[in-house]
Amino acid sequence: MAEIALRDVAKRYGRIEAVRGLSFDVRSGELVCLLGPPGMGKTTTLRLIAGLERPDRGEILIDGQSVAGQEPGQRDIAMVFEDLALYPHMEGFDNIAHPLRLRRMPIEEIRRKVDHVADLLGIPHLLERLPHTFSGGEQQRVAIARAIVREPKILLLDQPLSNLDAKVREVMIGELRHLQQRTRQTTIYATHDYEEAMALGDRILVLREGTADQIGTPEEVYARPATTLAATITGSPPMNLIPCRFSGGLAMADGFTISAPGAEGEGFLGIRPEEVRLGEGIPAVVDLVQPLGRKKIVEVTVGRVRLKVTAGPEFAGQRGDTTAVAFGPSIVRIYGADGRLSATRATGPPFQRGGTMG
Amino acid sequence: MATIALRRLVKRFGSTVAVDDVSLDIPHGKLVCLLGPSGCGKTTTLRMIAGLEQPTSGEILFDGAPVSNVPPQRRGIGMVFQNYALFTHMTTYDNLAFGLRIRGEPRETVDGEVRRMAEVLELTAVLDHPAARLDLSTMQRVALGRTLITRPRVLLLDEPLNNIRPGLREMLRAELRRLQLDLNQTAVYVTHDQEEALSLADQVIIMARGKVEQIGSPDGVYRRPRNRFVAAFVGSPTMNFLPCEVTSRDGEPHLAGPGFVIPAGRRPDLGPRGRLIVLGIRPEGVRLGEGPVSAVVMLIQPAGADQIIELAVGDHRLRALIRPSLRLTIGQQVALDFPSDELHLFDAATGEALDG
Repeated sequence: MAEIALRDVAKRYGRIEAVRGLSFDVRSGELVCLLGPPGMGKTTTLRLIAGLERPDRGEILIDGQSVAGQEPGQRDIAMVFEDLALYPHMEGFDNIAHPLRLRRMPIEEIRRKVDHVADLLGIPHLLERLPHTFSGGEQQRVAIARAIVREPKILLLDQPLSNLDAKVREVMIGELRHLQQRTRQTTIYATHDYEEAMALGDRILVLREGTADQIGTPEEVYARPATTLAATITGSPPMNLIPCRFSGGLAMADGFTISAPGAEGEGFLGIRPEEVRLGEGIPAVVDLVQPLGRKKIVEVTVGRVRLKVTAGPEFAGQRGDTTAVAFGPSIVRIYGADGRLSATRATGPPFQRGGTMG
Repeated sequence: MATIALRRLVKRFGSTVAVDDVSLDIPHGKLVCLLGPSGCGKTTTLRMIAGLEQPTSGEILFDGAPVSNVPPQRRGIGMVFQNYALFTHMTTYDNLAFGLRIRGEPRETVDGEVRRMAEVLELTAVLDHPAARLDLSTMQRVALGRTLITRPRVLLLDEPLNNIRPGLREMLRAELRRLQLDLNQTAVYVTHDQEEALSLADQVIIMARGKVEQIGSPDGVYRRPRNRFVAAFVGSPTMNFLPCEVTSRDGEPHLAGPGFVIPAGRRPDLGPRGRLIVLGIRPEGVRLGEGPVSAVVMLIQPAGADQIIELAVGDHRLRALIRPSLRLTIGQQVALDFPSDELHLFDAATGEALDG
């Protein structure tokens, strides 16, 4: 168990600033997800913590001690990558036992520890088989078992589920969550998938261009994303961001106006698809209907704005039909032109057509 | 444009039967998804439609005429793959124009068509850009436009969005569907992703081990899966299954599961007392609060618009999808109900759905 702290850490590769003044804390036993699109500094951050890269600036502390002088091997960190490599000629047992053998641990203790993690991950049946007989999900389980068998202070996971089929991923997310609740292993988990981040993270850190846009619980990040990036990287479909001009208590979008007291200037209204009601309010045209079984994603055009709306499976409209949309009384979020959340407000229903953008 | 019919199609590779007696009809102007896990025969079926593989037996008809002797390039098909190969040294314009130029179309026709297609796919601004400099989503649109511009009778797509990151993938999926609807383009789309299939298709064809398991509308296969395989494969989170036995209480048919007895509803097909069946219930169908089933909360996963709750019922685990505002704690005892109109019942031995 360990605490991690990053203090104003920066790393540049030639002209690219991969990490730019990043600061955050991970508490002992906590799982923090780094969430961001590709190229935002997730992997670099993990590599800096692991000691595979040296920061150009700033400090990394483990349990309050700077690790600047420590080699990767001294930091007691285990890492699992997206493209994990099991030793193909070794059976499951030997793959998992490998880090313990390197430490010259007595064989009885090795057996006890390997059996324990194999139970935790539900893989006792893989111990005597070779990796080429494992499915994708099984390979990941063995790789994670190998990483945690020596009980490292810190576990770093870099998109460990991104190569798996959707169905296998669904199962693995549940299993990792169980594992985390049982082991309370201090973990940093990098992903571009908000479902993984929401399901697994005690807290989520939204990374943009090497800096933290937001750090908060999954519920906080989902309800009040601090930036337009945090808003659009979470949710399926992601939050609608409607370009608006705010003036005199109104938000004027391209073709309709709603009340939004307190904001001025250019920016965006942020409304989640499940916060829009269909069938009442201002007229809209159904642009596309995408059934997903338990719900339907409906794209509508309101004025000249296209919105995504979550509807129940009973929604019967089709492309070209007219309908209506209402936002009230849900919360809308107001983002400034800089993409930062400036306010959250309850809206009234849209009440005026024909407003135009400034 | 065309209708396509497959009649008792079989493909063997040595002793492996990749496609096993597949018959289906693809109506004009519709998008049909072949959905299944890897190795189910969906890509082999697509390749036979394209003419890239010869069927071992059976027939493929385009507009009612067999095409077994028609080579791929004369079938009037367009294909888009997972790894779409653009000519990276050429501009967007030249990539789009390629198919028409090969055919020897006059310069003005080519120019008109390229500009029209660029307009539809929002590529006008990048017509002069070399393909190598385009981002992934734009490349995918160029690949699609390059195929569509040749006006194929049938568009064949093999997991074309696989390599694209989530988020962007959903956007491109919507764009593709809009385009297909606007052009009334007959299309066959291969995928292993049930969400992709449901959201795109007019008709979903679910395959496993070379055979068709079910054909139906997205709503149809979700609401009335014909067997356990389809029930488990379609939908996310996955449907829950619990073993049950047919019983009766006060003369009404009931189901006895691990630690509970619930009314079976009106099911003339239920069979005799003592029959073993598997009860299926989707996570969104499980009701929390009151009911005859007692359960313990094992895991809580926030999922944005919902929460996924894992529950222990006896030795069995099941998942429920609930409102994010409902506060539960791990270890908490809860009562559940399985409303009879949410039940899917399957024969325990065959896995076939009982016809409700």
